Amino acid sequence: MRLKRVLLLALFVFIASCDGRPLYRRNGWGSATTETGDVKPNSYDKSGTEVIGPDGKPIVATGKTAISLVARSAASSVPRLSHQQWENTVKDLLQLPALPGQSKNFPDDPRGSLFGNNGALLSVSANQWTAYRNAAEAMGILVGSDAMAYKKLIPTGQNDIISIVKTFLKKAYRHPPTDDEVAQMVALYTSGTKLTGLSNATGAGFAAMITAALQSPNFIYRIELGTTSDSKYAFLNTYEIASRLSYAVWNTMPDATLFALADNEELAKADVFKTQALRLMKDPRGAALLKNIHLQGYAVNQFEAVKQDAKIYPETAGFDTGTLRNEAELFVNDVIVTQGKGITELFTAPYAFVSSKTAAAYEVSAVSAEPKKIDLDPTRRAGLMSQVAFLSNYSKTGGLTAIIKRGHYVAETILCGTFEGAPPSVDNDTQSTFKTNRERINALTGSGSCAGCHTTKINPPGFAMESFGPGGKWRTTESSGAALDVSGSFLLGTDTVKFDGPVELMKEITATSELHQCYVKKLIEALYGRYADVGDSNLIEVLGMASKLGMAPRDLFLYILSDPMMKLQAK
Amino acid sequence: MERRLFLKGTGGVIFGLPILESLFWARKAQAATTPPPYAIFLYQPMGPEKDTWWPSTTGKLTKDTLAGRGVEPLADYLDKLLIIKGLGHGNEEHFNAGDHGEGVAMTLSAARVDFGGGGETNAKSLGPSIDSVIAKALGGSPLNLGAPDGGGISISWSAAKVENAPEYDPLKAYKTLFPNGESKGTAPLVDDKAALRKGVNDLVRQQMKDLLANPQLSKNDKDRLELHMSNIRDLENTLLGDHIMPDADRNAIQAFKGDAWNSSSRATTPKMLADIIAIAAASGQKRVMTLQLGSYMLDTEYDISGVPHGGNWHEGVSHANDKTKLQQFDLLNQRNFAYLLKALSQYKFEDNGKTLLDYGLSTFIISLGFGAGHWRYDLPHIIAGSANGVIAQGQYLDLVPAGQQRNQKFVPTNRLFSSIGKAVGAAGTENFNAGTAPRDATVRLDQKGIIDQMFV
Repeated sequence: MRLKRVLLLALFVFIASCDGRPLYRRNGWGSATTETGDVKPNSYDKSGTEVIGPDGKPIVATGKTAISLVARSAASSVPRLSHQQWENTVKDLLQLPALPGQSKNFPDDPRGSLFGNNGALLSVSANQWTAYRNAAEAMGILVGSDAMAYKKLIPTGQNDIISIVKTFLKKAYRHPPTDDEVAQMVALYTSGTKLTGLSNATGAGFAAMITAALQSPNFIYRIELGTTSDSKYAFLNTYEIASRLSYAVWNTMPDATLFALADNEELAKADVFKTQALRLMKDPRGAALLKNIHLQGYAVNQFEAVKQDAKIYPETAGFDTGTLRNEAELFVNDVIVTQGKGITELFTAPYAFVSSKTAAAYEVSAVSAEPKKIDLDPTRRAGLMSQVAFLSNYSKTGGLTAIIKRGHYVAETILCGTFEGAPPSVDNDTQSTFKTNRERINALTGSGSCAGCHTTKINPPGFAMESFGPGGKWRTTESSGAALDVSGSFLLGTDTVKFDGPVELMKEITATSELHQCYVKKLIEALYGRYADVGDSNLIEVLGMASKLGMAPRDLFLYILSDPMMKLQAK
Repeated sequence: MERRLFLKGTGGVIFGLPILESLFWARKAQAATTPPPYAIFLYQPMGPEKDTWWPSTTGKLTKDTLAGRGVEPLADYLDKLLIIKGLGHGNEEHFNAGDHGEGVAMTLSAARVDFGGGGETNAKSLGPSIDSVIAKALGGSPLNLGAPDGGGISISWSAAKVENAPEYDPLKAYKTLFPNGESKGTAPLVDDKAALRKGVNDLVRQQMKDLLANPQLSKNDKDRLELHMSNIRDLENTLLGDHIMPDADRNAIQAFKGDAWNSSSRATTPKMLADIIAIAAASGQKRVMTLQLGSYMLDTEYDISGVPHGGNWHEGVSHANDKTKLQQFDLLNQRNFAYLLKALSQYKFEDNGKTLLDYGLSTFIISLGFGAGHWRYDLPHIIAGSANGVIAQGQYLDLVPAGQQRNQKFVPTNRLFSSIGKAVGAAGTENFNAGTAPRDATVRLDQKGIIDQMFV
């Protein structure tokens, strides 16, 4: 076996952006690679990562992140397919014209995972097992009873049973099956007629094989155990790398190109891997990933229109969840995918997609029923949190704005703060005696053990958002007539963030390291299917800085995908 | 005389079949003369109205002691109930500063909770929950269901940090149990796919075994794979041939088209899920079931019919100690509990007048004693049924001796679960999750043993 030493300073990694220019440079991960380009594990923990930011200057990690991270090795090396991954994979494996739709009968997965793909949280409960079995049987019969369908799965010029089984299992398992696995499946295949009741031997064979393969742990789990390891890491083989990359970007099994590059082990080479990462990202599925990660990461796909009395809040008369959510999603897609801008713009850009149903809330002249991109008053509106979908969602029926929830969104969703449970209450919520909602919240949470989190972290950003009523309309007074106080400050690490109103708030927090590191942390969780952990500290720090400097999300994605951890599994 | 199980439909038709012929009661070829016990657990989030929830006096339960109280909807089942005061979380890390994630994660495990460096939303039990342990001991797996407005952390854990997510959708839950509908034949359902399933399972088991032998697997991954392995079943639908749910109930479930995560279905789905739990027990599909009535961080308000309006529960009701709304919510949940008890009671035995309710234990739990104060003690617990005469009934029991400080001398729920495990004959539930030393070392609450007063 050939071994090639690569000097530290010679380890320049280039990723080409769309126009082919070098996007960033990094080094410092390690002193040696194998011939296949795998980074040796002992070098992984070294600091000194260098990134060339969008301004052309190198960014160097200090080894300190501002946000909290969980311990290393919280990840699973056998993550179960998410329901969406199951659907996509079965469609591709069986070459179906559309998604099979079987997962609608699967039990809902636990919601502890932001992106629904954290393998450590996904298990096969009794209900899930039954649902998998039922779905596998249905797919087996579907394909096995349709000659046109199963003939597509027979490799050209290789219609002997062993070749059929080997070819199918390699795709189903995302790696070549062992001889024992082939022998077992051949036995089942040849008993197909007896077991399935189908008369055609090939169709029956496929029915039995599909039924079994879709229940195999090799299909249900993305096995990333590696073939070699040291005390800290397992090194993924090229099939596992192909699978991890494909599920990260496309949420499905590898395609023929990735399989071929896994077969000849080319995928282990850094440049080949990066070319493939870019290919996947440039595909429409890569663009969909870009959008969806931002929708999920910032809960946009959960925003709901909260009903208000249209006599008191006429601007809400046309609100419904579908409309509001759609307009917010159009905005996210425009910023991130169309414009290629980053998280700063997402929370500061003074425009929105507005339709006749929401025009009154934005106080712009009526536009069509179809949402259109409209520039808004930049002294009032700044990004996602000043849009009606967010503002309506974080209000309460009856006209109260949800100060705590709006503030909590900033503190937890945007800044990745963690709060260990609400403290016991002081029983003094007598709303009628307060002129403003701010006073009410101060009275409710401003003293005792609540105050520790509420007055310093949660409530202040919520106060800034009081400039917007429950329907998202700009206001300077409350319905009581009392003037609003939308100024405040809160602690972020050791710094104090001061603001007067929502635009200033967004300007201030988008300038913090916490916001950008939190963003990178979410991207890592989405792409790796695990929580970002302490081992990602340097990556989070440097990419947080790059994000702050305006690096485009797709470029951040490529950097994360190119990280050595993509090919390693922490123990 | 041969004991027969009768299952009654809404039309008054009574079906019967020889008990010894059913695979349920005679599961694993045991010649049972009585139904084996089952265990059901229900969970209500965020604390009761503490001054009005409990019966007015301890001792024997009467209509008078329940009148006007939070448990009044259970009045028809007075002589089937054991209401227990004085239970608490002996392993709580946050004490009064935390319920929510921590409280729900330990509701059925009574184990220490890990937060993974995050907040309450990351809370994970460090031990399996009692439903999983009993189910495993009885040779099966639990059925975990939840009502809408849920999400977040489950009450059920198959192992440390391995969560069993509840199913919220009644139609999905029904279809999972009865993929081909309920059988109306007279013989146990014969599985026409048995040969294929056996062949597939043999292949899958071998692959699971090979995978489990890989030394690179972490403990967490191993636990997850073992859970999967334990759920592979060769013979499904080992049901009573004549089990049948009242048609109206089944029709309602089969017509369910709502978003199971949408709280708009809150008024109806708890009852549908209760019907599914009852038929799961009656048919022998499941021996252990859970029903989570709301999320760990409930934030929807309901009227007395269960119809949601507004979303401010945590702050505006629980923390603000809004007694009127808390009382309404208590009554709403007890009505749902009473509905389950009614559903269990409709499966009757001909020769002794007993019902399925008598043969198991249905335990209702609230994981806080007082929401606004985040009390980890005086957690409301009601057990209905006696596991065929094992558990005392018709009583309101206070476990904390008079004059003692209730927040220091409560009985850890570990002992309750050990007692329930013993009552239903589940091995391995002795000293349930009592391994970790309590944080309050000065008090040293004893987590070991059972609660003698619970037994007849």
